[in-house]
Amino acid sequence: MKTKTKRIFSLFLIVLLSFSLVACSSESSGGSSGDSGGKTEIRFAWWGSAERDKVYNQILDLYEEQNPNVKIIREPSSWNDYWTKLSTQAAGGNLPDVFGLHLLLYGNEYFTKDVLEPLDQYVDNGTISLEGWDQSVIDAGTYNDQFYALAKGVTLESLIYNKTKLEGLGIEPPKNGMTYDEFKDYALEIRAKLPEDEYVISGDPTSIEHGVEMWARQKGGSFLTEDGKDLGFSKEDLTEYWTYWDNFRQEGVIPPGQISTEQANVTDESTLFATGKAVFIERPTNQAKVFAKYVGGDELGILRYPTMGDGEFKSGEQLQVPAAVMSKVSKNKEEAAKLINWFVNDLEATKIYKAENGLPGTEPVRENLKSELAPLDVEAISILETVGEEIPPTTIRPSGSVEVLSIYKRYAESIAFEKMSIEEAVDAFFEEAKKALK
Amino acid sequence: MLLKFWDKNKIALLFLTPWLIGITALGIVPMMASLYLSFTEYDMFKAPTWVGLENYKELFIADDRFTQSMKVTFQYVFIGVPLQLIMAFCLALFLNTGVKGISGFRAIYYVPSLLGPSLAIAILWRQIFGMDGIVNKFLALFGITPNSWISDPETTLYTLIILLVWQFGSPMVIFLAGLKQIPKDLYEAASIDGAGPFTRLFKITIPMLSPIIFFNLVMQLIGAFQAFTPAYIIGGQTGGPLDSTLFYTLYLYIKAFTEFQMGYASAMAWILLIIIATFTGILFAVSKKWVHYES
Repeated sequence: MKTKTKRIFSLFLIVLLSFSLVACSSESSGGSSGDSGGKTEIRFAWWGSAERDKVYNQILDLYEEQNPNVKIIREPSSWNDYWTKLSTQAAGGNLPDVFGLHLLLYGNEYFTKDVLEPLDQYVDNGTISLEGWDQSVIDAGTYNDQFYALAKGVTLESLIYNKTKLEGLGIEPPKNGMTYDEFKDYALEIRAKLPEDEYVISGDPTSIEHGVEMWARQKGGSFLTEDGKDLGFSKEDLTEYWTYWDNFRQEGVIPPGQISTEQANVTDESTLFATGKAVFIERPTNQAKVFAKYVGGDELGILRYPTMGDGEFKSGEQLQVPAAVMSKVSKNKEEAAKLINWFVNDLEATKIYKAENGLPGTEPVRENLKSELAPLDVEAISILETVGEEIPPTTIRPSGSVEVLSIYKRYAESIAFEKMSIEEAVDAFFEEAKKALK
Repeated sequence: MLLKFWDKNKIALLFLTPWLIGITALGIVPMMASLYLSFTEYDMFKAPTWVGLENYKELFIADDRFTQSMKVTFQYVFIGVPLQLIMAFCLALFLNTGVKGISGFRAIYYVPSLLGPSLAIAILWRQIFGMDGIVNKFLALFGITPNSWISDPETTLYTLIILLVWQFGSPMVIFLAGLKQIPKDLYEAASIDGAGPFTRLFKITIPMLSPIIFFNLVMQLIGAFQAFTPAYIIGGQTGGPLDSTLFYTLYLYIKAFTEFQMGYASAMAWILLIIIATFTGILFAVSKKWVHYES
């Protein structure tokens, strides 16, 4: 080839290649919503199970019907996966426009990371209505004097039980308000009548943080001190707590390490409780009616978490508030605000939702639902009202709780697998936790 | 001098431009950024703060979980890879004897290594080895009490090793191809001289196949050190139970994305690079002793 032709040819190739470069660097997909074919896209993420997804989809379909210019991209996950996914998305600047946030467990983590959009301006300009909302619920979603989160519901940790199964064993259903000691006797009574491969409680309460937090609060302390610099309970408290439940493990009231670890990772419908192999399961009250669908016709009841007879407070529950929040980097904030407002305030939407995430935080919605509520929800509400009077004020866990909790879980696990004695585990936990909190 | 280089090679370089841009932007730049970050404390939300060798020091001196993750990963690599390769080799030998339907077998055995590292298989594995899984039902036939193999700290790692060994298909196919290359007259000459099957195996097959064995060894080793997905799913995302499946990459992920310690995780990434490079280097050095290349 003549030099001139060569030159033109190479020039042509360069141009062609640079075109392919441009074509290959596609727009960053994911990230906040864009617009597709004229419709505003909003990404909405929530945690749940198959049953809950159906409810959400129903509600979101209704919104799309009423707002034909909006398309909602649904991003459901299971509880475990949700938080890992969310934190990865937060780190990558890729959070969904609207997503669920459990204020007790993760409120502070996300408030302090500055990834949420304050909703005050939307309240002020009328997009979001706070009429009829309980002040305590609004406070729960406020941080540093800015309002971030609208509660989808309010709920409490409880022990859901299978009434039908108890009847089959010839045992009376438990009485609300029983103490830890009374519960021990009751559990052993049940254990005596259960076959070998069944358990009183489906899973290990020490493997999640609610139990130990409640224990600490019942004793007048807390999981972490308010400034997040130290543990809010003593080594004796922890030893007592772990011993109580380890006795249960030895007696076969709760499953041994292998089974409880597996149970922690299965879907709701595959738990021992849902398959009829356990009498109790520890879950927030609003999930009772979800499990009712899985136990094939058995009647369920809700037992208030055991009270501490000699504690400073009878009960230690924290009000759990699953809320809806908006991402700071959302490209469609007005529309997202509208959606959040509609989701928690609209009477039709909340009717479909039917207290899925707990008691609604606003009076008008509660009124509207009164006739519709399932009996389990009515039970849940009455427990909420009783317990509400006997607990110390609800706090949001300070930042850093997540790390301490994962340390806690590891040590609880080593006790469950009998790899460490309770004393060793308590000492080691305190050491590691204090290091992490420095 | 540079000008001479440019003059001589400019067309080639021009053609290489897309790849060069790619490797720089997607390879070298992130690697350098990661190296820099490994000397900082960085939580992704605030700017990184320089801490020098703190991360590296803490990893080696103060971090028990790091030691655990090394233990777990080393066990996985040094038990799993040899097992997998032996399995691949034996099956390749067997298939090479002219079994009927060899292409069918080849395909069937190859499929696991395609699907193996995937999410779906990991979830399936968790189900199979769980309390209600098929493995328990099978073992019950022999009177073995059911156990949750994937939730027992003693056995979980072995379910992952089994998963690795199950993916022997791809090295097997490579072995098969290599076996077919060995000239048949070598075997004929040997049997005339009175060599039995084992002698033939050790004096002919293995030496002739040694470059391929070496290749498979290096590739599988590098891959196994970086295993992530099965550990993530089967170990319940936290390396459980009791950190028995806390693979190195999983621990790195936890540090980076669950605990938001990017600097620390970057340090881990570079240490992994050095470890893999070291072992690969050792393999290459030792290979001079036992790998025979056809010259």
